[in-house]
This record gives sequence, C-alpha cells and structure tokens, in this order.
Amino acid sequence: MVKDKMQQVTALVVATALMMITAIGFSQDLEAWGQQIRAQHEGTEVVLAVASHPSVEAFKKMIPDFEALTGIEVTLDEMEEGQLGQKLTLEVASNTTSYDAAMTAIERNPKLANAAWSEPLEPWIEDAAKTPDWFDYEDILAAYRDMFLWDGQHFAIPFAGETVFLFYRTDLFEEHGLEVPTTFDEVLEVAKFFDENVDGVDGVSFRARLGWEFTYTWSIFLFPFGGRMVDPATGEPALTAPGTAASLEYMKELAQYAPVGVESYSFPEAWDAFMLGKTAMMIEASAAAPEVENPEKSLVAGKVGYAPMPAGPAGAYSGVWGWGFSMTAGSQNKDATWALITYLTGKALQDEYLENGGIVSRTSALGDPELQAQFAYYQATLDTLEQAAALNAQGLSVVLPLPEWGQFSDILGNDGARAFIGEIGVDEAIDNMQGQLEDLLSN
Amino acid sequence: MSTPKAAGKTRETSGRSRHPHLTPYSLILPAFAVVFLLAAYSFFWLIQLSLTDLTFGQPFEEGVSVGLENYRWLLFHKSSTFWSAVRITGLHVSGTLVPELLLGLLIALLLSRKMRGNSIFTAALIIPIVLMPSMVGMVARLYFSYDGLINFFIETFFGAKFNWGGKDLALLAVILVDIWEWTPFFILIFLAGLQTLPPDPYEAALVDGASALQSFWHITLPLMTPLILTALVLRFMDVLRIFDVIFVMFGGGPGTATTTLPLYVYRTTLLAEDVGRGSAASVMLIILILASTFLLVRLRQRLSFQA
Amino acid sequence: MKRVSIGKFVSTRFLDLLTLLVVAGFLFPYLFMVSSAFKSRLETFAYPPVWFFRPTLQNFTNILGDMNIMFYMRNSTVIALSSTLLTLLIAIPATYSFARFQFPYREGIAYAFLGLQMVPGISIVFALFFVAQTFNLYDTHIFLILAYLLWNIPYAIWMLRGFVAAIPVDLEEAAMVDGCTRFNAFRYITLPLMAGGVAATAILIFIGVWNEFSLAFFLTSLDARTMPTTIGFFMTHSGIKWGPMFATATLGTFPVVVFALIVRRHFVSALTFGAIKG
Repeated sequence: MVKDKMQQVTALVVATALMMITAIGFSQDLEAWGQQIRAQHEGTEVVLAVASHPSVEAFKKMIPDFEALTGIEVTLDEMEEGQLGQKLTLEVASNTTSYDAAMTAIERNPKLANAAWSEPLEPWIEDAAKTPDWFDYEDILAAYRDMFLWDGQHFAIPFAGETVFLFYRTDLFEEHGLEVPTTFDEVLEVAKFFDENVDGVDGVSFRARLGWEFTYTWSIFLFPFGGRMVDPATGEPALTAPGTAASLEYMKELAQYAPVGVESYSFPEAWDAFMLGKTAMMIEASAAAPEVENPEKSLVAGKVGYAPMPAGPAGAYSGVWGWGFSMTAGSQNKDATWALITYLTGKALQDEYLENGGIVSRTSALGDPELQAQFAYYQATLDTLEQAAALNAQGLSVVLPLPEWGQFSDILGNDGARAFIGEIGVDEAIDNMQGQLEDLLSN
Repeated sequence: MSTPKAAGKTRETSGRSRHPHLTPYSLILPAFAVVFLLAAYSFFWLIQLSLTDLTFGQPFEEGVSVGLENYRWLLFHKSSTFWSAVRITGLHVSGTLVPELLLGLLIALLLSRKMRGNSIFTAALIIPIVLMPSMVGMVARLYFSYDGLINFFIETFFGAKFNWGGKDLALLAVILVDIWEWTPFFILIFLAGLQTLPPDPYEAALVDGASALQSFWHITLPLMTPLILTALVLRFMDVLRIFDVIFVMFGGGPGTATTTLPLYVYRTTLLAEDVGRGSAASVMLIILILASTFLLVRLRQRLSFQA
Repeated sequence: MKRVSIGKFVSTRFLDLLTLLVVAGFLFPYLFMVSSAFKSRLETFAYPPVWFFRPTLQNFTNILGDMNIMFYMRNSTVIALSSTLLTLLIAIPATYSFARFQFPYREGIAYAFLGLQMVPGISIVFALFFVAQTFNLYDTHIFLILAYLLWNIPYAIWMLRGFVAAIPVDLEEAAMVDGCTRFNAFRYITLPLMAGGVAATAILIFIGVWNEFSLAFFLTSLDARTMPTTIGFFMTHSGIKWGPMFATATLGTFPVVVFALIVRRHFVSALTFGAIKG
C-alpha cells in the first residue's frame, strides 16, 4: 500500500519534471505564436459545436488561456451526442453552417466530407506557417488520424480516439480465484459465475439500447464470430455470413448475465452499472476508463483491470472510434479556427489536456512508461488498437467509411436490437437487414 | 364595378358600419394568415418530401420523385414496422385513456365529498399536468430503472422487482408515467362537472329509495356523459401526439416496444435518415389524428344529443 | 341508529384518509424530484432510496455556474412571453369575430383552426426546419415564437370564445346605441369583463410554450435553446448527471407550478379549450 503510494508519487514527480522541461521549451514557442495569432485575429469569434464529453470538459479549462493568449473569443455550443449528429446533418441538408468547427465522430465524417460541409485539412497541416512545430500531427496515433480519411484527405483532427476493451474487477476476480477471460466462451462462463454465485453482482455490462448504440456493441461481437457487414471484396451487404447469426445468438446468451434492463442501456447506464459495482466486467469504450478511475464518481476506482478483447472462433478483434475537430467549409474565420484546433489538440499542451480528464490519442502519451504506470488502461488501449489493426488488415472495420453509414447503422441497430430482445427471430432479423441494406446501397 | 345583384345584397345586410360583411373576416384575417400560411407552407414541404427518396443530409434539390412508393413501402413492405407502430400507438392510447378515465371518475367522486383541504388537494393535482414533459421523462428514466424508486416500492410491498426497461414492461412504464401526469386532468374536469350537477334528480331518487350506486349509475353517469366524452376527445388527441416523454425514457425501444407513431416518425426521419418515408409517415399520422378526431367529435355530438 | 352513525363516521374518516393518500401519491414523485436536487451523486442512485441526507447546493451551483442555466431560462422566458403576447394580439380579434358575428363558413373555419391545433409538432418539425432555413431564421427566437403561433392561436381562439360568448351582447349594443364605436365598446366593456379569461389563457399558453420540446429541440442550436432541451447536457460521456438534472428540473418547473397555482380557478376551462367552465 505504502509502496504503491511511493511509486505513484515518484511517477508523478518524474512526470511533472518532464512536463516542465518540455513545457518551458513549448511555452516560449507558444508565447511567440500567440503574439503572431493575436496580431492577425484579435477579437475574432470562433463558434464550435461540441458534444458533452470528458475531452470537452478539459478544453473548457484550457480555452480561457487560449483566449488570453490570442485574443480570439471562443464559444462552445454543447449538446448531447445524438443531438449533435442530427444538428450537423441538418446543416448539411440545408447547405449552411452556424459553426466554424465541430466535434465530429468517425461515423459522420464521410457524410460531412462528401457533402463538402467540412474542409479537407491537408492544406493546413502541411503549411508550416499555419501549423506550428509543437502541434506534431504525426504524434497522433495513425489509427486515429485515418479515422477521418475520406477520398485521400483528412477531414478532422482526432483528439479522443477510443477503442473497446474488457474492464474487469481485479478484487472480485482475485477473491473468487478467477482468471481474466481470453475467449468469449470464458467471458460467458465468468459472467455466469458472478451472476449465479455473487450476490448483487451481475456478470457484464454493455450498451444495447436500440439504434446506433446496439450497432456499436454488436460490431464488437460480430467479427470474432466470423460475421460480416459487407463483403470486403465487393462492398455488398454480407450479413448472411454464418458468423453474423452466431454473434447475435452469443449476445442474447450473454445478456442473461447482464444487469436486468440492459436492453435499454445507453452507454452512461452501462458505465454506471460497472462504476457502482453492480457488474464484474464491462465491455465498453476506453473513454470510460478515466471515469471508472475517478473516485468521486466511481465506487470501484483502483479496483479495475483492463484486458484486450477476448477471442472468438474467428479471432480476437476490436475497433476504432472517436472524435475529432472538423473545420466547416463555410467558416469565415478558418485561420483563427485552425489556431484554436492546434492549440487544443496539439502536443504542447497535451499534459494539461490529460490532466483535466481529456481522452488520450497521442503516441507520446500512450507509449510513455511513466504515464503507463499511472494509467493502467494505456497498455490495454495499445493492445486493443493492434486488434483493431488486425481487423482493418482484412479490409474490415466496425464503422464503414460510407456517407450512408447513419442509415446503415440504424438498420443494424433496429433489427439487431429487435432480435436481441426476442421480438423477432435472429434469422428473420438478418434477412430483414440484408434486404434493407441491399436497397440502401443499390441507390 | 359590382354587379347589380351583389350591390343589392350588400344593401340588404348593411348596418351601421360601411362593410359589415367584411368586418368578421377582417378580424380573423391576421390569425388566419399567420396560422394557415405557416401550416400550408409546412404541409406543402411535408407532402413534397413524402414523395421523394430524399435522405437526411442530402440537399433538398437532390431528392428524386418516387411517387407514392414511400407510402406503399410503409404499408406493405415486410421489413416495415409501421403497422407495429400503429398497434403500439393503439395500446398506448387505450392503455392510458381507460385507466385515466376510470381513476379520474373515482377520485373525482372521492374529492367531491365535502371535506377540509379540498382546494389544497385540487391545487396539488395541477402540478403533474404542468411539469415539463422532457424533465418528467428523465426523472422517470431513473425512477423506473431496476434499482429505482418504483421497484423499491414494489419490492417493499410485494417482494419482487420488475424489469421496466424490458420489452414486456417498457410500454407499461410509459403508460404509468402518463397516468400519473394526466389522471389529474380527468379528475379536475369531472370534479368541475360534479359540482354543477342539479340537485333535483338526486332528491327524487332518494325519495324513491335508490342506493348510492343506483343514483350514480342512473343519474350521475348520464348527466356526465357529454363531459366524459369531451375529456376523452381532448386527451385522445393529446396522447396521439406524445413524443418527449417516450423519447427521453426509452427512445422507442427496446426493440420497437415503445415506438408509437410520433416516435416512428422521428426514428425514420432522423435516425434512419429516410426523410421520404418519415414524411410519408408524418402525413399518415396527421390524417389519422384529424380523421379520428373528426369521428370522435361526431360521435360525441350524437351521444350528447341522446343523453 | 347510533351504530349507523358510527359506521358512517368511520367510513367518512376512511374516505378522508383515502383522499389524502391519493393526492399525496400524485404529489410524491414531484416532491421526491425536488428533494433529489439536493442530493449528492451517489445518493441519487442509492438503493433503497435515501430519505434523510445532508442537503447540498452543489447541483445548483453546478448548473448556475458551469452550465449557465440562466441563459436558457432567459431564452425560455423571452420566447414564451413574446409568443403569448403575440398570440393574444392576433387571437382576440378573431375570437371576437367568431363569438359575435354570424357569417358563412364560421364553424367550418373555427374547426379548421382546431384541426391545425392537433397536428403533432414532431410530424412537421422537419418541414419547419426547411422553412427556417429558407428564410434564414434557424436558431432564432423569432422563428420559434412564430412557429408556436401555429398551435397557440387556435388554442387561444377556442379558449377565449367561451369567455366572450358568456358576456351578454346587450352591454356592447347599449354602448353602441350611445354612440360608441364597436371597437370602443369592445375595448371598454367586453375586454375588461373577459380579463380573467384572457389572463388564464395567457398563462396556459405560456406554460405550453415553456414546456415544449420537439420544436425547440430541432429548430435551435446555440442562441435560442430553451429549458426543456437542456436535458441533452445531462447525457454525457461521463455518465448521466442526475444531480444537476434534478436541479434543472426543479428550477425549470418552479415558475410554471407557481403560475398554474395562480390560475387554478380557470385551470379546468383552460384544459378543455373553454368547453367546460371550471
């Protein structure tokens, strides 16, 4: 216990020292950069659409400094994530924008980019006059950068990449002498064990509310069982692959050991169930980890281990999701907006960003041994990203880079969820989805 | 300018003011202009949209006309859940109206007795009606969670906990919230009605030796029928439109368990991003509401005359 | 005889108690909601529920400070007030016309208004969005104010018609015989007599707009966002913020509850479009 504390303190001291050394270098650069930006853009107002997200909370703490440094005024329009998606789509529909930049998710990027609502960022990234050295684009994980690739160009700067891994309660596993599951069969066994033998603790939580949230979770279970959304060779819907049905059947089986009501769980409910100690495991976004470790909100902080996704019959895979900042093509203040984006997502202030609860997305942080010691989930994140890369290597991905992804995902999230709760049979659901997807993609 | 005939007509009806036949219309004109222009313009858009294959996010110009294909798909395609939405709407409407009506009548009878604190009680009953539905939905989401307030009471009294978020009970949870919010509506209306009933028939019944139940059945109920029907019609229109509470509590799920027609419209237009089909569903919802309300108003007039 | 009266006494007491319980049952969820606004995060989740706790104002400081909830309160107030006033301005003349004149298609027009009142917001919100875009009015107070007129004006007309009809026409006619214009007769005689009804209608419209969700949700973003749509703030990547949610719900429902209690005498007629006098 004491030793742990000492280690933590040492780690913290070392980290702070390192931070200060780099910070001094950067702060001079920042100061000079700030003067330059101020000269051009003082008094400009920049409006950003953002979702309610831990990274945004971190940005809120950083923005006053940015305003003081550059004289640019920043306004955030914050909303719930689904609402944000709809707002942006409405803007695309009407070919207008009231924002200079928006927080966009991987799911929306193709649609926004395809409609030329968002701006390709290569001209900015590659322009040394506009992008200072301390921004260091290459330092952002390649898997995250390429989430926002459309037609050969990048349309957003990622700051909150996420992947899905297995959260488990180290204390409970130890108490009952259980090993961390490495296959989905073991997940089922362990979940069943807790559900049946430990009072007040269910097996596993995850999000399964109909719509995109069901799709999100299903896409994690789909590929390890050999399921397919589309045939990677032809791009045609291929839900009829035998593994697709198997993955749905598995989810139904696992749901027996999830908290009652899991079929209505949005991600906050899934997280709360785990954070309140009601489940022994959770299969959820890595973005949950900082919350899980926050003792103010979580009863299980410090008692959680993180493991890569277990393997199914067809291998072990995970996926990549995440958020980035897109600039709108209609913005009148692109240079000022770009300055803000580089400031908030750059390497220079990464430590401040992480300190304030921002979600990690950079190699320099994830690979840092000191930070890895401090944040137990960094290693799991890296391991899981390899699993995601393994999936991508086969030409597959959990989110298809299609402008129609919203509709695609909704079809999966509707009929999939109906099969999940037994409203219709799995085969009927797959038949339904396949038919609708064929219609969708043939248009 | 005007034909002799028209001029003559004018003379016939002219009173003190110079254009009396225009006065009533000119007073209505601003209201008419605002409401009907806005409505007509919106309906025009809606119908246009319902005849295209437009998806959410496509600029409007890109929509291709598909005729009545969207309507055909919704009504007849095997993957369409439109009829399921109609069925759930039916369950939702009857599941809320019947208990609310009965409870409303009972509680109104209870409250119509002379007792102290009556005015405070009626004031308290106003509160559920005026609360912000979106907030009510959020609060209900917590109350109806597995470890929530509702299950606490059920467990205390009956020793069991229910899965309100499951496919069997989600609609019931939505209905219970509505019953909490809107039974007071029936109570207040019936209470007002009960207080204006004429005393004479009751006195006559008392002389004839009728029991309380008999006089309720033969006197109160028939006298209250028009009122009951009015309240039902108004609530019927309202229940058909409910969106926010369901949206916030379950978003139409799990599966399609709480996808009533308004939720279906929302899910199709904004989540499935199919503006064409969503608009077609909107049009059908509007027709359904107008037609059924028209029938109910007619029915009410009929029954009121008989009563 | 005595036994009967004891029985009656007991049954009366029983019914009194039952009444009390029923009313308390309707009030309880609201009171529990208000009390939850003063709980800490873990207390809102507690099972069994916590009845006694140290109240905290943290949730209120959170929404008033970080979330700037007053901004949305102000938007709601501006939009609800303006839409209410505009509604009355337009609806009162129309109501007067419906109540005082005989003219062809009168009932037809009146029912057409009523029909429009029934259109669900969600079904035309998408079309309204296009309208807003066409006129460059998306996310403006004015557009919401106007959009609500679509529902408010018919409501006001049906509500107020009963109030006007209840005022004897003789009074106006007498004034007009004395040389008063029709407008002045209305202004100085009828309007003051229907003031109570107008006030009740106004408050009910205010409440309706204050609570409205679907239009406000889809037709605003930054500038004109209203209270009901702030629920989105509580569904975050860091879990549902129940405490601030309860605090917002408490704050957001408070004015409406007060208003409703003020006009409770007219509440029943308000609920029934004036079809039934309370």
